[in-house]
Amino acid sequence: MAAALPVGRLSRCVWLLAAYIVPAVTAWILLGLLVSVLPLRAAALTLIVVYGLFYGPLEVAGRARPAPPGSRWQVPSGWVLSVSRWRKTVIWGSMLGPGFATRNPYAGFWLLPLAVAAVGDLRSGVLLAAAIGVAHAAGRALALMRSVRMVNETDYLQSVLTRMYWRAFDGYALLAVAGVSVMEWVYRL
Amino acid sequence: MSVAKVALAIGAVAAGLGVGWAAEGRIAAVAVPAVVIAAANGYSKAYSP
Repeated sequence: MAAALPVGRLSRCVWLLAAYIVPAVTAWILLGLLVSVLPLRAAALTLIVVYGLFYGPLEVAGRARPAPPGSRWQVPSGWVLSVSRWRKTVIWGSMLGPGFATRNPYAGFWLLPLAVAAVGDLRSGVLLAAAIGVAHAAGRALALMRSVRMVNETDYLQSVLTRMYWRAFDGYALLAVAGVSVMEWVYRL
Repeated sequence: MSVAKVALAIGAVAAGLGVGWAAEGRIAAVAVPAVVIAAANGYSKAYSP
C-alpha cells in the first residue's frame, strides 16, 4: 500500500498529510460536538479509570486477550483498484486518518473519545477533539511516509519488537491517564 | 509479568495521580496525554499487521 502512495516531494507530503488530517479533524469535531453537549463528564472520567486500569496491565504484559475493542474492517480492495493514486490517497486518508473505521491494535485509541467526553465543556471539548484528530492523522501519515522511505522486507522481527514496545508504551500511558482521571474525579466532581 | 514491569506500571499510576493532584482538576492534565496517545496510536499502527 505504502509503495503506491504519492510521496517523495514536499508538495506530495503536504497533500498526503492533508488527505489524512482534514477528514480526521472533521470526524473528531463532530464527535466532540456530540459528546460535549451530553452530560457525560462523570461517566467518562469513571470509564477512563476502569478502562485504563483494565487494559493498561494487559498492554504492558503484552497479553492478546481480551482484545481491545474495535473492528477488523479494512478498506475493501475494490475501492482502491483502478483509481488514480491521488484518489487512493483520499480514500485511505478518509478511512485511516480518523482512526474509527479500521483495525485498532492498541487499546489506547478508545480512551480518546472518553477523554473528549470528560472535558464537559463544549468549546474545550471540540478543541481537544480537533487536536486528537490532527495528532492521530498526522502520526498515521508520517508513519506511512517513513515506512515508504525505510521499507525493508527482511526486518520483520524488528517490526514485531517495535510493535511490542508501542504496546507497552500504550499500557503505561493508559495507567498514567487512569491515575490522572482519579484526581480529576476528586477535584471536579 | 516481570517485577520491573509491575514496578513501572505502579509508577505510571502514581505519576498520573501526582500530575492530576498538581493540576488541581485542570482538564489539560487529561487533554495533553490524550493528544500524545493519539499521535502515538496513529504512528504505531504502521507496525501493526
